[in-house]
Amino acid sequence: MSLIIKNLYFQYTQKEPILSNISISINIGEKIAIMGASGMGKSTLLKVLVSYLSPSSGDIFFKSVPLNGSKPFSNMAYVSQSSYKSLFPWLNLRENVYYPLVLRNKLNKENQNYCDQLIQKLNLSHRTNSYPNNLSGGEQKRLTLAIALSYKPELFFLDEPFAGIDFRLTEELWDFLYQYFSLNNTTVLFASHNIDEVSIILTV
Amino acid sequence: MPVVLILICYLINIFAPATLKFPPHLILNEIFLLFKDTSFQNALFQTLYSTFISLFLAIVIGTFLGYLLGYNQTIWNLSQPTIDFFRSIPVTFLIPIATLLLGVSDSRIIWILSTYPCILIIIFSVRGGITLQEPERLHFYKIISGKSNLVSRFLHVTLFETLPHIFSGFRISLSYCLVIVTVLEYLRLGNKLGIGGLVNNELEMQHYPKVYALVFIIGFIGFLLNKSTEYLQHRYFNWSISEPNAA
Repeated sequence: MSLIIKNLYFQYTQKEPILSNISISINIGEKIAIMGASGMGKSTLLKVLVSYLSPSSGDIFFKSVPLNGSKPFSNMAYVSQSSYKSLFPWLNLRENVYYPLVLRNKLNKENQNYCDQLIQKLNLSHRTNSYPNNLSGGEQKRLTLAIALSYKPELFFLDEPFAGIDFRLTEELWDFLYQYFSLNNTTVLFASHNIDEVSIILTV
Repeated sequence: MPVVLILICYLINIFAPATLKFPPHLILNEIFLLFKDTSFQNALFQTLYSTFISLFLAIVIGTFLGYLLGYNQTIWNLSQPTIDFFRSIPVTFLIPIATLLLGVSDSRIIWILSTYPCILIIIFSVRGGITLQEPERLHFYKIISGKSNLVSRFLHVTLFETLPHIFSGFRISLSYCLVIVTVLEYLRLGNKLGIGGLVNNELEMQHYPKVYALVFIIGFIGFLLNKSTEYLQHRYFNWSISEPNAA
C-alpha cells in the first residue's frame, strides 16, 4: 500500500464534522478520483492530506511515513483550484519552475533541462521571462502544474485544478498529465465534481 | 503641478498684502541664486542628511518591530493600546521632553523626533504585509521545498511578500520625515542649519522672495523624492496576482 488514510475526522471548532471516519488505501501508481457535489468536503479532505489543515483525529501514512504532522511529505505535490495564489510573483516563469529545485539544492544541468522541457510541453516557452501577474488564467494554471511537476513528486493531489478553464485547454492539460502520470507511476488523488474530468483520469 | 503653482502665485498677488507681493520671475531668480549659494547648499545637504538618517533609523526599528508584532498576536494585543496612545501625540508636544533629555543644540534631537512618527508608519505597513500574506502560498512553499521551519519560510516567502508594504511605508515616511525635519529646523533645534532654519533666518530679515523660493524648493524636493520612490516601487516591488478572469 502507498497511501493509507485511517479513521480520519475533521471539524472546525464546535461545528459539525466535515470529514467523518474516512478510511482509504491507495496503491503506488493508483489514480483515485473523489467525486461529490460542492460543499461535500472534497477540498477539505485534500487540505487535510497535504497538512494545510490538521485533522481532528485519524492517521495518514504514505509509504509508512505519517503525513499528519506539521511538515508535509517531502515528495508530494498539490495543485488547488486557486493555484494562482500559490505562485511566487517576484520570480519570473522560468525562476518559478526552477524554484523547488533551488530550495531542495537540486538545480543541476539535467534538472534544468527537464524543467525547460516541462515549460515547452506546457506551451509556456514564449513566456519564460514573464512574471505571474502578466500571465493569463490558463497560463497561471499551467505554470502551477510545471512547478508541481518540476521535482518529480511521487504523490500528487489535485483539487479541481482546471476549474474556470475552457474545455479544450482542460483536455490538453489532462492529456499531458495522463502521459506524465503513466510514465512516472505517480500516485494520484484528485477531487472533482465534473464527470467528464473524472472519466479522463479513470482511463489512466 | 506648474499650473497649480502659477495659480497660487496669482492668488497671492490678488489677496496678499502689498509687502508680500512679488512677481514669479523674482522668486525664480531667487531660486537660481540660492543654488549658487554655499550656505544654501550646506543647508540642503543638512536637511537631506537628517531626513535620511531619521528614515534609516525608522526603517530598521520599524521593520523589526513590525515583524515582531505581525508574527505574535499576543505581543500585538498587548502593545496596541501603547501604540494607539503614542500615535495620538504630535511630535511638537515631545519637543520639551526631548530638549530636557538632549538639550536644544544636540543634532540627534532632530533624528529622534522625526524618527518617532515614521516608526509607527513602518510598523503598520510591515504588520499589514504579514497579515495580508497569502496562506496558500506559504503552504505551497512548504510542499515544494519540503521545509517547514519558520526562518526558511520567512526568508523565501514572508520577506518578499512584505517588501512592497515596507516600501510603501518607506515612501509615506519619506515625505512625512522631510516635513518634520524642516519644521524642527525652523524651530532652531539641533546645531546645524538646515533649510527650515534658513527659512526662519530669511523671515526674520524680511527677505520674503527668498522665503517663497525656499518653500518652493522644499516642496519640489518632496515631489522629486516621492516620484523617484514611486518609480522604484513600481519598477522593483510591484508584485501582486489578482484572480484570473480568462484562460
